[in-house]
Amino acid sequence: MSFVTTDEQKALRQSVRSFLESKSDEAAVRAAMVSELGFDRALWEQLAGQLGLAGLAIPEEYGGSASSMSDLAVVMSELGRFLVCSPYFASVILATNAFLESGDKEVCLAYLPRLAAGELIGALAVNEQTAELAPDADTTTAEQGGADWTLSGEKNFVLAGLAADVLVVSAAAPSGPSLFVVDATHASVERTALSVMDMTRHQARISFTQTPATLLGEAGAAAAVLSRVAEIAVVALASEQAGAAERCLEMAVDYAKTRFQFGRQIGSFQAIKHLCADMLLEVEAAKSAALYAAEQGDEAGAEATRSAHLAKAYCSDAFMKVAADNVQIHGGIGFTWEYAAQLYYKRAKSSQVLLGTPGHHREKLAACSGL
Amino acid sequence: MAEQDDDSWTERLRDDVRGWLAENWDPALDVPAWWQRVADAGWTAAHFPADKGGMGLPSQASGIVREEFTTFGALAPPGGLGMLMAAPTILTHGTPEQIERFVPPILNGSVGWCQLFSEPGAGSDLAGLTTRARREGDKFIINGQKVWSSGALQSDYGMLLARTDFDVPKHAGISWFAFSLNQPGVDVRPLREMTGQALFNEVFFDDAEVPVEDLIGGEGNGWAVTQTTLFYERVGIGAGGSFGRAPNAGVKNGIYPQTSAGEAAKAFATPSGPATVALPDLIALAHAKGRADDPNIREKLATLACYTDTGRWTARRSVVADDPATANRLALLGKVAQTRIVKLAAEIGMDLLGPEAMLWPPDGPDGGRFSEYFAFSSASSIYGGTDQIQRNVISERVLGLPREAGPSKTAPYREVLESQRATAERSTR
Repeated sequence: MSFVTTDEQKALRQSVRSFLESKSDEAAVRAAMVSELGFDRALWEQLAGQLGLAGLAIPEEYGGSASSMSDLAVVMSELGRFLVCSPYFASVILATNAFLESGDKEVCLAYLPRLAAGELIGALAVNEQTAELAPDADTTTAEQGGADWTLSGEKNFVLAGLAADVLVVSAAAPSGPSLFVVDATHASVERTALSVMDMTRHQARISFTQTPATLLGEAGAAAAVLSRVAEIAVVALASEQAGAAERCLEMAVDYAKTRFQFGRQIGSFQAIKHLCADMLLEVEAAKSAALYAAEQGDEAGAEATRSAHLAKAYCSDAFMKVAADNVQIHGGIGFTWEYAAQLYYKRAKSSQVLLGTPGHHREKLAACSGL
Repeated sequence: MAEQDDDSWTERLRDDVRGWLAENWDPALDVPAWWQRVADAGWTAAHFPADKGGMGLPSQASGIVREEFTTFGALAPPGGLGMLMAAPTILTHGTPEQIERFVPPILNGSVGWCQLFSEPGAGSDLAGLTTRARREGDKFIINGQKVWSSGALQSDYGMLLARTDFDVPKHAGISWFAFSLNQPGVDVRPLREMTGQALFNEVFFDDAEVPVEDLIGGEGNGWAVTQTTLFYERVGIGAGGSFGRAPNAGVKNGIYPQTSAGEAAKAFATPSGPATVALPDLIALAHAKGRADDPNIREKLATLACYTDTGRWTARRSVVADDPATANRLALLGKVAQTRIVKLAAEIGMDLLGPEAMLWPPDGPDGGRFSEYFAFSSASSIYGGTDQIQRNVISERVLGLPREAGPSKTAPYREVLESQRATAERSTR
C-alpha cells in the first residue's frame, strides 16, 4: 500500500485529460453514442496510435508497453471522467486479458500485436443470462471435427459487440467450458445491436451457427481464466467509476455555486452543502478503493481478489449515489435529455450491474473475509 | 520504485524501534523514568522536528512507533490530548520559550492535558463562547464555565479558549491559553455519559488565574490558533489517528506514578471501558452466534469492511499526498468516515446478539461490551465537532461552497449576544 502517484502517472493523466478535453467533449460523446457502432473511429485510432494506450496491458513480446494496473487505472479514470464512447474497456481490458490469461502463446502472437496497435478491436462474448463472467452456465456449445472447432449458440450483453473485429467466446466443450477465438465478421456470425439505457456503452446480441473457431488455451479452462480476467476487469471498471463519480461531484458543486434561489446561491444552504460533503466522502473513498485494488492487481493472489471485490462493490454504489445526487442538486434541468447529468446517471447504473452487482461482490468479499 | 522507498523507510523505522527496545526496555523502571528515557530518545513524537524533541519523520511514524512498542510488550510512549492537540498547537503558534516550557513535559508524560473549548452556550458554535479572560497586570482572570471536557479530572493543564474582548467581532475577541487546572479557582465536576462512564466533566472558573506568558499565539488570535488544534483533533479521530490508543499522560492518571513500567504495560494491554468493536470482533461473534451464513449479516459485514478499509486508505493517501491541498482535503474527511464505521459496527453487534442485545454489563456476551459500544457509538457523530459541522467545514473549505447567511460577522460580539437574548425573550413570552 503506497498510494504514491509517480511523475510518469501524473504526466500520463495530464496527457490523456488534455487529449480527451479536446476530442471527447459532451458534443462528441453525444455524436458517438447515437452512431451505428457507438464510437468514433478517429478518436479510437488516436487513443491507440498517437497515445499508445491500447497496448498498455500487453507485454512487450506481443508489442505492448507492459504497464502496471496502476497506470491502466489512470487511463480508465480519465475515460470515465469524460464518458468516452470507446471499445477501450471491451478490447483493451476484457478481450486482451482473456488472450493473455489463456497462456496460449501461439494465438496471442497472432492477435495481440494488432490489438496492441489498435488495428484490431476485440470483444469478450461470455454472458448469456448473467452479468458476471460465469461460463459454467453456457448454452453455447463447441463441437470438434478433427482439429477444427465450430460454435453454435447465442451471447448477450457483449460490449462493443458490433465494433469488434475479433471475439473471444466461451462455450461448453466436452471437457467443460472453454474459450475460443472467432472472426467477428464471419458470415455465420449474426450481430444485433441491443437497445441500451446507457448509450455511451453499446452492447450487442451475437449468435453463432456452426461458426469456425480457434481454441484459446486449454480446453475446459475457461472458468479459471475468466475468473482472473474478471478480477482485472472489475479493478479497471472501478477506476472508471471513480473518475466519472469525481466529475459528477464537480458538476454538482459548480452548479450549486452559480444557481440562485431565494436570493442566494443554493450551495449556501446546508441541505445542499451536506449533500455535497457526502458526495466528496463517496468520491474519495471510491478513489482509495480503486487505487488500492490497482496496486494489488498486478499479481494474482488473495489480496488481489479481495480488493477487487471490495473496489467493484464500493465504487459501483458510490458512483450511483453521486450520479443520482448530481441530478437532484440540478433539479429539473438535471432530469432533461439535453443535460449531461443523465448520461452519468445511466452510465452509473450500467457499470454498477456490469460484471456483477455490488451485492454479488459484497458476498464474495464476505467469503474472502473469513465468513 | 516509490513503493520500495516507502516500505524500506517504515521497515527501517520498525527495526530501529525494536533494536532500541531490546537495549532499553526495563519493566522495573517506574513510569516517569521510563517515559523520560523514551522521550530523550525521541520516540514519543518521532514526527516532530529533531530540534523539538522528535526525529523529523513523517506523521505516520508516531503510529508505527506505538505499534512496535506494544508488540514488543513495552509501555508505549505517552499519548492523550496533550500529544494529539496541545503539543502540535504550541509548536505551531508558541514562542520558543513557550515551546521549551510546555512541550517536553508532554513528551515525557509528566503533564496531562484536556480541552477547555465547549460551553453550555457554545457547542457547534464554538466561537460563540463567553468565558471571560480579564487582564490584570501580568495575568488574566478567568470566569465562566466549560463542558464536555474529557479527562479534565485527570489533567494538569487545559487548552483554554476564553474571550478577552467583547467589543470586537465574535472571532476576533478570543484567546488561547495554556491553563493550569491545579489552582483554587477551578472546580471540575464529572458528568456521566450514556455509557454509564464519566469521561466528561464540567469545569467552572471562579476568578481563576493564568499568567500572561501562558497566552499562546497572541491576544485576540485564539480563533486562528484553534483551527490548528481542531485540525489535529479531526485527523486524530479519523481512521488514521494513533494517540487515542496510547496511554494517557499526567500524574493524576491511574497508571502513572505508582506502578512500574512493566505493570503499566500489562494494564494498558488489557484495556478497560468501551473497547472498540471492529470487523474482526464481529466476524468472530458472527461465527460464535451461528450467523456467519446469514446473508443479511454477510452483506452488512462486507459493507463494514468497505468503510473500514476505504477509511484507512483515504487517511493513508492524506499522509503521502505531495501537495497540502490534497492532504487537507482527505484529512478533513476522516471524522465523517469514522462515524459510519463506528455506527455500523455497533449496529451489527446488536444484530448478532438477538435478545441478548437488551442486556447491559456485566450481563451479555463478552461482559456486555457490544451493548456498551452501541451506546457509545451515538457519540461518534457528536464529539470533535458534530458531523453536521464537519460537513459545513468540508463543503466550505474543500469544495468552496459559500457560508450560510447568519448574523453579522463584523458587529461587536456584545451586540450579537444582546440581540440573541432579546430574540429568546420574545420567543418564550
